Amino acid sequence: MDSFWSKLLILGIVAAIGVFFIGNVYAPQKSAQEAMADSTQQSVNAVKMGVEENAPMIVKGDAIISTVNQYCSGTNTVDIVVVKASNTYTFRASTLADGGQSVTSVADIKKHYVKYIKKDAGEIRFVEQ
Amino acid sequence: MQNFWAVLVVLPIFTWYSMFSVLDRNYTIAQQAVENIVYEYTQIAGKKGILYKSILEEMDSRLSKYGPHEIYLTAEKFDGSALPVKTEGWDIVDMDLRERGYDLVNISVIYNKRHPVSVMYEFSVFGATTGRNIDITLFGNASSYIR
Repeated sequence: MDSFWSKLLILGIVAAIGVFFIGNVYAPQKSAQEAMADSTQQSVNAVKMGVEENAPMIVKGDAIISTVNQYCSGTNTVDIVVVKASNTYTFRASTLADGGQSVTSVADIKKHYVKYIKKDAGEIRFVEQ
Repeated sequence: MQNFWAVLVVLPIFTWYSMFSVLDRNYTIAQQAVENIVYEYTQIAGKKGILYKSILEEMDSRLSKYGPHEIYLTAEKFDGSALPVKTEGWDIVDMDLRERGYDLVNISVIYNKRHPVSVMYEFSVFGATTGRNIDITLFGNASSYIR
């Protein structure tokens, strides 16, 4: 019988700890977490809304490489255009430009580019500065 | 065997709260650093009246520590009309903004990758989804009067 009562006592303690955890830790943490998520998300959105979709964004050359790697496969319909001085390189279905140059040889990771998203023309244009 | 069941209950809770604390702290520190960097260089541009390319590159290299990002530059001039005259992008780099009568310089930075803390906001400690699509990235935004 001792064993039965001790087990019952342990069960009661564990249940009490569980109720305490849910009431005093889990539920407040959950609502605080939701409030934090909302607040942070609103701050991020406020900055993103201040920047229009077709705004000229300044990026480094590695952004071209990641964009081409992300978009340029057989099913891609978006042209990735890189303008360097008087030369223009277009990437569409592969990571090789229309002239056969690879994206890593076209994009200079040390240089800055201005990125324009032209939805009407279906292209993302990077202009070297 | 009793230890096994106890650990099975406690370990996921401990892991979740540990991960949340570490990621949330990581985001807060990185976010503060990014805001400070953007603020610092906006103030420099505002005081000098010119956003030099070298200054932009220095800011960019410091921001690169936190991952790939995009920078949006604008300068605004209030000339009495309803909307201010706005110049944006690379056009304002190395431009003498004070000489040309610009009043404000603004720098916004948005990081491309969402921070892993977003995942912690999407799931509760017991693995249930919170029904929210959270897309938190690092960002910075600052404006300065051209003095």
